Amino acid sequence: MLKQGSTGLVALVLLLLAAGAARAADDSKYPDWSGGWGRVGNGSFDGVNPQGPAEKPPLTAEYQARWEATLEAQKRGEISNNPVERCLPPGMPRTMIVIDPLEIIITPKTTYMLASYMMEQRRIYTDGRSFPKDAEPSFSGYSIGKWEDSEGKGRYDTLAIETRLLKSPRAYDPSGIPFDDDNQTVVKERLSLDKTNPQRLRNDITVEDHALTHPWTITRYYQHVKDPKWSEYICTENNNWVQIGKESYYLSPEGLLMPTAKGQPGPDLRYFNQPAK
Amino acid sequence: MVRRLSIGALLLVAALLPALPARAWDDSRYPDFKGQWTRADSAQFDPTKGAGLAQQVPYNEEYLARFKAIAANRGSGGLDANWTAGCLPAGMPRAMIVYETMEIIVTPETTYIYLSYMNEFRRIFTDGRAWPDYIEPSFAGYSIGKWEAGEDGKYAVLDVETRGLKGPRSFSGDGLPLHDDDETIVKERIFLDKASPDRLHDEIVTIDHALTRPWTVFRTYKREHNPFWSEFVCAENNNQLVINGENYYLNNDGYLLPTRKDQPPPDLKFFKQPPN
Repeated sequence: MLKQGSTGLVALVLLLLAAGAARAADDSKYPDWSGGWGRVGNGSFDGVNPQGPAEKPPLTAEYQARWEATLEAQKRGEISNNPVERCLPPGMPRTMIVIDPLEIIITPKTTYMLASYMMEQRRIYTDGRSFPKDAEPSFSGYSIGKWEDSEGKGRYDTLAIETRLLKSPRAYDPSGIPFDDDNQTVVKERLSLDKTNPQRLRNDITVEDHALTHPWTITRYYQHVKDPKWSEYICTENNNWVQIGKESYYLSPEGLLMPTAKGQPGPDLRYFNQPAK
Repeated sequence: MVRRLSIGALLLVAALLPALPARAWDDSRYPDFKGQWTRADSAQFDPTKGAGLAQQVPYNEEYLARFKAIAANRGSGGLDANWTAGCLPAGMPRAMIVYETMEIIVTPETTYIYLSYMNEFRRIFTDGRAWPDYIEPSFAGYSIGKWEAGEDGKYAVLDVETRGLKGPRSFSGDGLPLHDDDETIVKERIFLDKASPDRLHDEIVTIDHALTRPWTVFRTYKREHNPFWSEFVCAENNNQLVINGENYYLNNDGYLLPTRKDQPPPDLKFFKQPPN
C-alpha cells in the first residue's frame, strides 16, 4: 500500500516536472529586461563626446567634407541632414541613443523594442531565419538576433543583433553625421546587462557603412526604470518645422510661416488666385 | 524505507508546487493571438454602415450640427477634423479600425498592440492594477484589461477599458467628432472567432459626452500566419500641410496648392524676400 502510494507520488512529481518543462514560453532561459530603459550619457551618437567634430567618426574624405558642409549650414540656422526635424524617425542605429525610454519585450521567436521617441518599433527575429532577399527597406531595418549564453550558466545573457535593409534619410545624431547614400549600412549590436551594474543594460554598437573607413564601434548604456510612466511622443503634434519643396520653414507661435535662414525667400504661391490674408 | 521515500516525495511535491508558477509564464492559458491581423471589413468605424451620416452615430444635437459643418467643409474640398492628414495618430477608438496591420503580443502583465498605421502602440495592463490618480492624456489612452475564461477554463476574452485620452480625435476619416472634453471611455471585448480562429473580433463600446448613449460597433480582423511587415511613416510622403489653421496641399514639385476654391495663400509677413 505504502509502496503503491510512493510510486504514485513519484509519478506525480515526474508529471509536474514534465508539465513545467512543457510550458511553451520558458522565460527562465531569458534575461529579465522588463521595465523601462532610459538613456545614460548625452544625445550624441557615442553618448560621451559633444555632438559635432569631437565625436570623430571615421568618415571617408568624401563624407567628412559633406559633414563639414552640414555643420556649416547648421551654424547658419538651416536644417541640414537632421531628418527628425521633419518628424522622420531616427532609424537605426540612431534609435539606440534612446532619447526617451525604451521597453524591451522578449518572446522566444521575436524580441520587440518599443521606443517612446517617435514611436519607433523594432522587431528582432530570434527564430533562426535568414535575411530575406526582397524585404522592403525601412528606417528601423530588418533585424535578426541570436541569444548567447556567454557564461555557460544555462541561461541566455546576451542578444547579438544584426540589422540590414535600412532606408534613408538617416543621420547618426542631430549633428548630421552622414551615412553612405547606398543605404547598405549594417548595424551589429551586443546587448547584455552590465556585469558591474545589473541595473544597466550595455549595448556595444558597431556600424559598417561605405561612408566609413573602418567599422565604428561605440558603447551605450541604459538605466533600468522599474515602474516607468510611459508617455507618447508625437512629433507632428507640436512640430514647428515645415518643409515646402526643398526649403525648410518655421511656424511662429501664432502659426505663421517664418524663414529659417537670413534672406530666405518665402514659398512660391503661383497656384493661388487670392492675395494673402 | 518506503515510508521515508513517500514522505520525501511529498516534500518534493510540496516544494515544487509553489515553484512551478514562478518558473515561466504559462502561455497555454492564453488565446493564440499571434501573427498579423488586418482589417476584415470596411474602414468606416461601424463597418456595417456607410460613411458620414449613414453611420447613424447617436450624437447629441450639438455634435450632430458640428458633424454637418465638418461634412460641408469636406464637400468644398476642406480637410476639417481629419487629423491624421496632419500625421496625428488616429487614437482610440479609431486606431482599432486597423488601417494597415496589427500585431498582438500577450504577456501575463501586459498585452501590447502594435499598429503599423502611424506607428501606434497600445499597452493594455493586465496585472490587476487600479486606475492611477493621474493619467497623462495620450492618443492611445491608458488601458486596463482583464482576461475572462471560457468554458474550457482557458482565457478567451480580453476585456479592456481605455481612459485618459487626448484630442483631437475623430471616429473615422470622415471627421465624425468626439467630445472636446476628451472624457471618452472605450470598452472592448477582444476574442477569437470560435468557428474560425484566424478571425479576431473586437466589440467596441464608446462612451462620450458627444453621444446620447454608448455606441457599440463590432469589428473583425483576419490573420496572416506568415506576415510581411512594413513601416508606415506618415511624415515621409505627407502632402498635407497646416499653416495658421489652414490646410494646404504640396504637389509633387513641392509647390503649395490650395485645398479649396479661392483659398488665400499663407501670410508671408515675416519674409523680406519675395517668393522664389
